[in-house]
Amino acid sequence: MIAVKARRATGNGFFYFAVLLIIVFSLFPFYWVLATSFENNQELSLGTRGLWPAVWTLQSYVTLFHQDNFLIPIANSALVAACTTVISLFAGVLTAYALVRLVPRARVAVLSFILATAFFPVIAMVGPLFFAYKDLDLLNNYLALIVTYLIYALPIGVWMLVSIFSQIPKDLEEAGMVDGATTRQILWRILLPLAVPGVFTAAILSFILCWNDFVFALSFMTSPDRYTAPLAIVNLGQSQYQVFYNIIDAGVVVTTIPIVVLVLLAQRRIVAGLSAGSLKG
Amino acid sequence: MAQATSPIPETALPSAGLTANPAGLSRPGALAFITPGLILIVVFLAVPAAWTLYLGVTNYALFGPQASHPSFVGLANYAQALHDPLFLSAVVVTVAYVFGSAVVGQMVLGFALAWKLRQAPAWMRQPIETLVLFAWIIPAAVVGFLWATFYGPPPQTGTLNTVLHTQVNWLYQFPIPALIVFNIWRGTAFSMLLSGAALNTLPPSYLETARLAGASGWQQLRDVVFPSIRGTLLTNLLLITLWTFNDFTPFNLTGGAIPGATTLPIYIYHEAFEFSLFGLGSAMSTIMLLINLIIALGYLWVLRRTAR
Repeated sequence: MIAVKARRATGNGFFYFAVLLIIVFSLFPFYWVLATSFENNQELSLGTRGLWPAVWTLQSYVTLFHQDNFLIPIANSALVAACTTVISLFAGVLTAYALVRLVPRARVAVLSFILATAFFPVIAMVGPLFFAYKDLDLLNNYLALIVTYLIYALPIGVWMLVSIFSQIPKDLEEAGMVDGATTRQILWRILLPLAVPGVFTAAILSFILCWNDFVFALSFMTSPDRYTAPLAIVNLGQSQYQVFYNIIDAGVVVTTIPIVVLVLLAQRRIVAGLSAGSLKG
Repeated sequence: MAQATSPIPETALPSAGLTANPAGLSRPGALAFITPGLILIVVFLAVPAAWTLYLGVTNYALFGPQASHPSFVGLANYAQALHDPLFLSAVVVTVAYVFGSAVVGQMVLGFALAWKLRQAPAWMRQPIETLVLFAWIIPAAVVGFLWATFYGPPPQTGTLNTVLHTQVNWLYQFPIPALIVFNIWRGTAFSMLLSGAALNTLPPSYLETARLAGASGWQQLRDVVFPSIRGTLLTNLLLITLWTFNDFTPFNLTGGAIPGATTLPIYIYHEAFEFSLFGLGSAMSTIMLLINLIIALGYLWVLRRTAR
């Protein structure tokens, strides 16, 4: 008995150590970037430094917003992500509702098609879309990004909304039908209010998807005033003699904050939404 | 499955519109709901996909005479790709990247974490879940810089060199292991969350019974856990394999400039956008698409075989 307990105790000790290691491993890059972003240029030029910066200043953040106008790419990102999210939710709610309640027989076929699209290699899409937007004169236009992100946001949205709608019991809708509500009223007045938490998750995931994209923005947005935040980061802090990592890292911190806030607000729902979609499939 | 929801056959009640169509809506009406979404996906996905296939058999380029008058070159692009040692090396790098980081790293580590954390107290489980979720969800460009700084070469010494007191250019000297470690860090969250969700669906009595019968931890996993949640684990494996295969994030670490770390998407990007060889790039994309398809079919085959 004692031997078993002792073995279990050392096992647990090892386990806690491993957990600690994972936490350090996960946090360390974040810490390093945060610390670097508070360094000033002189400190940075000295090169090597310990784990703790000697001076903490906001100098690089001032440079970021004053010299590099980082607010513009942040605003671009927010605009594109918000538009995509609203459109994809609207179309996604309609599609998911139809698949769950109106034509359930089409559900498997449409869902498989939708899932297949989500795995189409991004790199194979860049070329043809580039030519299409060039001919339509949409290069450097927000619409190019909004439409492209919709291709990826909409399938994920539909997939998640389908699993959310099918969990809602039919009784209330049937009651509404008996009272003479139209399909549209049933959807917007009865079903949607019940599905709000799920719709919220879909919205967050869609927003994050747009906010995070790099390769489409890199290919379609050609002038710096239209860059999105991830693209702008790559062009930060470059000078002839030195790369100013403190300014890059300040940009990294600013770009990450909205995502961190969203995750902290809705972690539980994001996890539930992700696993619901995949477990059903 | 769809029929099971309405026990009364539609033909049995021809007069009652309510039961004939569960939402009292005609078929064209239902189509109106689905169309906007589908049209968008079809037009902007299927058309470019077909276009990729077409470009692959032309010598289309962004500039020069081939830009305005591309001509049909048959399978020449495919032949060129398959004889290009850099393309083949990109395939090898990609396969190593996928196998090392997704299949072995994320899948095994993610499941192990979920299995171990299953009984951990909430104060321990939740911070870990949040942390790994962060790594999974933050922008690729951001992740790229986090890790470029981490692996930073001398003279602007990066984190790893600072901690280890070494002077190693990690990404040049150990490109594949460096990328694998990076992608395990980035992607383990998804496998962990999915495995955790699947483990939660297991009735506790199953494991209880196995424990009482004297099964060791490994025996419980092999005989009880894996057979029950096999479907989810395989789905997870398919998702992370395809994601990693198509992943463009290594570009953000290397700037696409390190030969040993050039994965397939990066190489295709170079050919198409930097050398303006869109025909060749499209042929390579098509080959990549075929590999994706083979992976997906292989997964379906395994799923069907083990389902018996």
